[in-house]
Amino acid sequence: MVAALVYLQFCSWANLLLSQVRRLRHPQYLLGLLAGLAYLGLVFWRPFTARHPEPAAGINPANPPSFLEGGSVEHLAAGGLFLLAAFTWLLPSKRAALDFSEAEIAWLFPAPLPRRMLVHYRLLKTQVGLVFSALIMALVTSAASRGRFVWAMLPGWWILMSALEMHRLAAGFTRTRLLDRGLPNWARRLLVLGVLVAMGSLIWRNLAPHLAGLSLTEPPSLPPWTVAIEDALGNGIVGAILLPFRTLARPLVILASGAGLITLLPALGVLAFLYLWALKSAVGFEDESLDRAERRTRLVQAARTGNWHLAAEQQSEGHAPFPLPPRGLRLLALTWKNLISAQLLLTSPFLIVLGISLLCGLLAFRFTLPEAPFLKFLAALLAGILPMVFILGPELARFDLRQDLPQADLLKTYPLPGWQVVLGELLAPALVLTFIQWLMIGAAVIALPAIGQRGEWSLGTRVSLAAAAMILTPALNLTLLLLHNGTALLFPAWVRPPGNAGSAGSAAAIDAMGQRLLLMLAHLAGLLVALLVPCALGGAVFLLTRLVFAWTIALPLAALVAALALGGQGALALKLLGDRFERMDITD
Amino acid sequence: MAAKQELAYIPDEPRLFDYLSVRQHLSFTARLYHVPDAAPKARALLTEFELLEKARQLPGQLSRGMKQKLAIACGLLHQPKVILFDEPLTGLDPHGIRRMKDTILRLGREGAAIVISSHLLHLVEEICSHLLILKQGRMVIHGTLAEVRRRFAETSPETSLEEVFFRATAPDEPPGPAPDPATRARPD
Repeated sequence: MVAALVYLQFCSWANLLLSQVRRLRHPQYLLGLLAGLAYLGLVFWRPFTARHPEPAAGINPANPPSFLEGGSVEHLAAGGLFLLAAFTWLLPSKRAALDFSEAEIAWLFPAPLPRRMLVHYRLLKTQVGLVFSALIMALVTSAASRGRFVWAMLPGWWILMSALEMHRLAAGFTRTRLLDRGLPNWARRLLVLGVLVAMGSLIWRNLAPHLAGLSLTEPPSLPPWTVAIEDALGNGIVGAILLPFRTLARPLVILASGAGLITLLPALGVLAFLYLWALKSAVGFEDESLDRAERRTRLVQAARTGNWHLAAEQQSEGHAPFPLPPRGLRLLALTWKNLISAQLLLTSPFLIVLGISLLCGLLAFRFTLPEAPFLKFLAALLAGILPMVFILGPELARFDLRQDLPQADLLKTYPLPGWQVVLGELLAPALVLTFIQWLMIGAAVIALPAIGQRGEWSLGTRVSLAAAAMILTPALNLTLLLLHNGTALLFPAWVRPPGNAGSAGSAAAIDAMGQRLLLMLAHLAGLLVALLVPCALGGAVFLLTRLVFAWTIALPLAALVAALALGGQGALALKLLGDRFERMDITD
Repeated sequence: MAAKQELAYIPDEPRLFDYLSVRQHLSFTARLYHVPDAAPKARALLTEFELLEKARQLPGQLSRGMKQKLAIACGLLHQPKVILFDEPLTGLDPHGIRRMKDTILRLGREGAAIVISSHLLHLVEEICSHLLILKQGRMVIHGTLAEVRRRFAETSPETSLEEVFFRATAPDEPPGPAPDPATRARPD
């Protein structure tokens, strides 16, 4: 029986690997993988090749250790692990369940396999993910030593992650046992909260005497801080409770400085204890596992087809954004539908009212306290975020053709020409994004005077900037949405919904990431090309009108001309995409 | 566009929008097809398909059969002249199957041209007037049921459609008289 399970898992891994290698024959996967690997290489390789000073051996009295070095890290990590473990006992309310696929449930649950074997199979199955995560963490955390100890840290991270997984399993079983023995969820939570409060007070009692002697204004690089942390988390009952967590964290701290692998033995002991606990406490998990598997399958399918509402388990009818009488522009039916689709995320009436109210509140604040530092901070923050919203907004707001392409056969039966289908689909995200960006532009312009270097910006200046930005916003959104939807229509194999890495597996995740990077670059390049003519026209209009009018008038006029040019280009692109949609062979 | 206005396509797997409720699906369809008097028509369809009480529910809360009924209600709302059904009985319970057959026959009597794609030969035999058999995307035969039977079952006009189908799609076998079932079933 064991051989059958090992065979199943081995074949699954081997076939997954094989299928991922085979699909590299398709350029979108090969290029995606290359781009993903290049990105990962840049991220993880650079710290190893960058010139760092050699790590100092021992403690240099002239360069005292930071409080984030040595024993204090170990204690802080132990505290963090304790909190993680505590949440495993505090939050969940359901009975124990193991993550099996529906196929595994169909084959393994009715088979004559003891429950322990299923638990072992589940543990074996998690190993690929754990080893991969451990490798990533070892790469990240060994950057300080320029990667010298990456292989030494790998087992340390693996033990820590396996211990967390094992604890999650054992805690789930034990919670279910407690539930069956009459301890309700609320009582368990109260108990855990009580332990947390008691731990907090003990830590405070240990820490308080040290705080009196510490300067909170100095940078925390003084040895007293280290002593305080060690005293608060390493002594007495707190120290005893945190001991297993410290045992798991210690190898990571000392392996990073080149210690031998022998230091892993105590951590392996903790892992072995957790393993035995999980096996001994195993209870019936079959029904709950089945529910979980069905739910996960449903959510994954929903997410892959872009149905985020099903993924979010929408339970009630969405609020229609406006009445939809049977007469009127047909394409607005698609917009109406997509706005309902988006409303849980973005178009709830409450959020719209809240956004406008916040803007009005900001205006009142601006007139009451014009010199408040908050305004300067807000303007700088919005100036930083706005470009990201423009670039990433159309990528994330997928309630358009990208969401509906799996139903293209149905869309093609609608009595609308192709360009109207594309436009109707695009309008919803364009409206939502434009509304959000207008609010942000309004807020930025209201906050703007606080960062003016030559005194307060005049009302005319602010109105001119806001008008120009607001005129350009819808045209820019439509252009970017056309680029994104055009890619989905012309190169559907390149476009995958967020969260969908195709079949499971790390390589799939890497090529999906690479594909997204390449697409993002392609969209940025497309945007730059699309902006060439509008920018040239807008610039010319600005220079010409500037001869007659003040720049505060010339700027919105130039923006208007640029927006019209973008709109003209967009109309052309819309026509081409519409034709493409009509010719699209849905059997492909 | 004028042709699409008169057409309805009802796929085998109901294609519904997971975020639109039952009644929102009908409102959406009414706008797409500019259906006059949409509200009473929608109500009548919901009643006919026993969906009235589920008007505010989302497709995720409906059974497979209910989803199929909703897809059909949306398809019929604009009173199309041509209706394409792809495996219309998939996933329906016996009551649903009976009601679906009645609906198809009623629509046919009312003058709609109905095209059904199905592997359920008893359904085809029961409700279709004309038959088109495809093999690997190519037409094998097209005609009334009687004509098709005549061609593939010359010696026995009572031959089942299943037998006709197997003969028509047999690999490289020229059409000929059907074997006598009694003879074929008799052991040597």
